Amino acid sequence: MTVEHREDTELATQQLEAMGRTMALDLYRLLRLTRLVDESITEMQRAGTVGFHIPWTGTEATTIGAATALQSEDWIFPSHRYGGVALARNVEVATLFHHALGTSGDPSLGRQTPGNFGHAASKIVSISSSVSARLSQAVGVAHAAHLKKEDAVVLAYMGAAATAGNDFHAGLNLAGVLRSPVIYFVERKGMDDAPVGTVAPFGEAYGLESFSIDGSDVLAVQAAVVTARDQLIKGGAPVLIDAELKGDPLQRYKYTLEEVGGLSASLLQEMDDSLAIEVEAARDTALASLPATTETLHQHVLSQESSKIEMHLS
Amino acid sequence: MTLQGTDTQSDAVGTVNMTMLAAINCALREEMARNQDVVILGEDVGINGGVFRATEGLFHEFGDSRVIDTPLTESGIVGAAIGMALYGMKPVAEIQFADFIFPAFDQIVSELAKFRYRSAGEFIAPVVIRAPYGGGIRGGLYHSQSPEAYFCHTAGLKVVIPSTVSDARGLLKAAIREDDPVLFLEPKRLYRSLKDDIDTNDEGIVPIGPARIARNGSDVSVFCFGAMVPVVEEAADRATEGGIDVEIVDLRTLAPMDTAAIIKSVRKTSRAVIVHEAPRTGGIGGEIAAIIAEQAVDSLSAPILRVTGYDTPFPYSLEHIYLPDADRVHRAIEEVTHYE
Repeated sequence: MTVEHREDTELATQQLEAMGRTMALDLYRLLRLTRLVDESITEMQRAGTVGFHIPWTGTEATTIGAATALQSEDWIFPSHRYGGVALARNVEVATLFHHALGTSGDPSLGRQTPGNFGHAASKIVSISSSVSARLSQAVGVAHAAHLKKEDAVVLAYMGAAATAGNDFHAGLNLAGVLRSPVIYFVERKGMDDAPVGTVAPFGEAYGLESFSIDGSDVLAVQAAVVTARDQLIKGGAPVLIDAELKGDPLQRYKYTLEEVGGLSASLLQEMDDSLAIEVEAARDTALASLPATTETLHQHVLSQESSKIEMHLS
Repeated sequence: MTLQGTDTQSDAVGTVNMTMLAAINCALREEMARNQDVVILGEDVGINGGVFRATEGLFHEFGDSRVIDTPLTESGIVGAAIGMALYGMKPVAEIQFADFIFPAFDQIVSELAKFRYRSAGEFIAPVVIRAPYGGGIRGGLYHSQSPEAYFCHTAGLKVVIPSTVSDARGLLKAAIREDDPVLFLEPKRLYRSLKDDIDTNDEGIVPIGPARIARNGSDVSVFCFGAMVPVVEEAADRATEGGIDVEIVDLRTLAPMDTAAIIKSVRKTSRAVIVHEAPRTGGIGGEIAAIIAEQAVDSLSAPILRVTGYDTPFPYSLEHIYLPDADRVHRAIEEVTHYE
C-alpha cells in the first residue's frame, strides 16, 4: 500500500471533518508541545545544563501521528527522538524535563541517558542505546498479547540506521514466522539514510506488509497506523512502515488547519503562547528538583538486594 | 527410541529413577502445568523435542502456543523472550549450546540484565535461559565452552548450574518462579551419566542462592559446580585414602554467590582449592579466591589453588588434557595440605 504525498486537499478535508475541531486542534497542540519541549531541552543541552540530548525537531508528525493512532492498550517501543510519544500518552510535560535533567522525578531515577525514555503506566517501554535491540523484544510483547488473546498491538519506532542492525532482521524474521501483531515504524530522511536506499523491501522479504508514507504529514501517518492496527487486530500480517521525512511537519499541519480547516492563525498563535508558558513552568519544576539519592544506586539490580551488593556497601 | 520410558522424558508419577535430562524435562512439564504463562521457545524445542530431547513430549502435551519453534537466531530468541516477559509471561528460552549464546550477548547483558535497573523497577523481564554447557562429550571448540564468568560479571542476572539430578529439577523449578532473569547452565556431560530417584509428589524446590555441602570434611575445602562435582568427588575419594579429609562445596548458584558458605568452609579447613572447566584467566575461580582473600585470609594455612581449563580455546582431540580431572584436582589437594 502506498499513501501518496498529500498535494491535494481532498483527503485532508475528509480526515479533518472526521476528526472534528477539538481533535484536530489537539493534534496541533501535541505537535507544538513536542516542538517546544525539544527546543527547550536543546537550549539547556547547549548551555550545559542537560548532559545529552538528541534533538527531535522535524520528527513530530511520525511521533504524534503514530502514537495518536494507537489505542491505550497498545505498547510502544520509542526511539531516541520520540519524547513526544510520552506527551501523546498524557505523561506530564515536567516528566520529560525530569528525565532530561536526570532528577529523582525521572521514571528511571536518572539512570538512563536522556532520550532513553520509558514509562510503564503509559506502556512506553524503556529502551537502551543499542538502536536495534528493541526490535526483537517488540515481537515478543506482540506475540504475548496474541497468545493471551488480548487486542493489543506493538509499535516499534526506529531511525533508518537501525535497519542495518542484527535485531531488525531477527525481529522482522520472527514477526513474519509467528505472525505477531507488530508495526515496525522506520523513519528516514531521504534515500541515502537507509543502507539500501529504501526499507520497504525488507518487510516483503520477511513476510510483512510494507507501507510507504510521507512521514512529514501527520494525517498520512495517522491514517497509515490506523489501517495497520485494524489489519493486525483482524489477524493480518505484521506491518513495516517506511516513513520518509519531507519537510517541517508542524508548519505543514498548521497550513492544513488554516487553509483546509479554516482555523485562524491567531487562534493557533494563542495556543502556541499558552503552551510556551506551560513548557517553561514544567522546565522550572524539574530544574528545582534534586537528583536521586545515593541510596538508590543499589536499588532495582535484582528483585531483592543480593549478598554481593551488601558486601560492596560494607 | 520410543516415547515411553526414554531417558529424557519423565511424565511418570511417584518415585522415579531418572537422568538429569529427564529431571529437567520433568521440571519444565510441572511448571508448565502449574502456570499457564510458562512458555518455551528455541531452536527445535517443539516437534523435535530439542537437540538433547530436554523438551521431549512437551509440544504434544501443551501445544504450539506454549512450545514455540523459532528460527535460528539466538539474539531474536532472547529478545522475543524479553518482550514476552515484559508482557507478564514466563518464557523459558533454550539456547541449543552455551557456545551459541554469544549472538544473544547484547540482549542478555545490555537488555535482559538491565531492564529492572534502567526503569527503576517499572519493567521487569524474568526470563529463564537454559543452555547446555561444558566439555567432555568431544564437542570441540563450539560445543564445549563454559561461559559462566561473562554473565557473573553482569549485575542483574542470576547464574545457576546444577550438578545433581534432584538439583537440576529443583533449581530449574525455582528459576522459573523467580522474579529475576536466570541463566540456567546445564552440564551436558552429566545429562545421561547421572541417575537418581526423584519423588515427583514432592515439589522438590531448591532455592536459588545457597551452596550445597556435597561432602563434609575438615582438611581442605574444594569449591566447584556442575560437571566438575563428580570429578572432585573422585579426587576426594583418593585423598581420603591418603588420610586427607576433603570438604566439597557445590556452589550451585554462581550469581549471586553464597559467600557466607565459602567463608564458613574456609574458616573450618584453612585450605581452599577451586575447580572449574572454563579458562583460568578471568574465570569465576578468581572471584572466589578474592572473596576468601578479602574475608578469611587470616585463616589460611596455604595458598589458594585453582584447577581450571587452560588459557586456550577449547580443543577437540585434546579435551581430556584440557579438562580438569581427578588427578589434577588430587594433586592440588595434596599440595595445599602439605604446604609449609
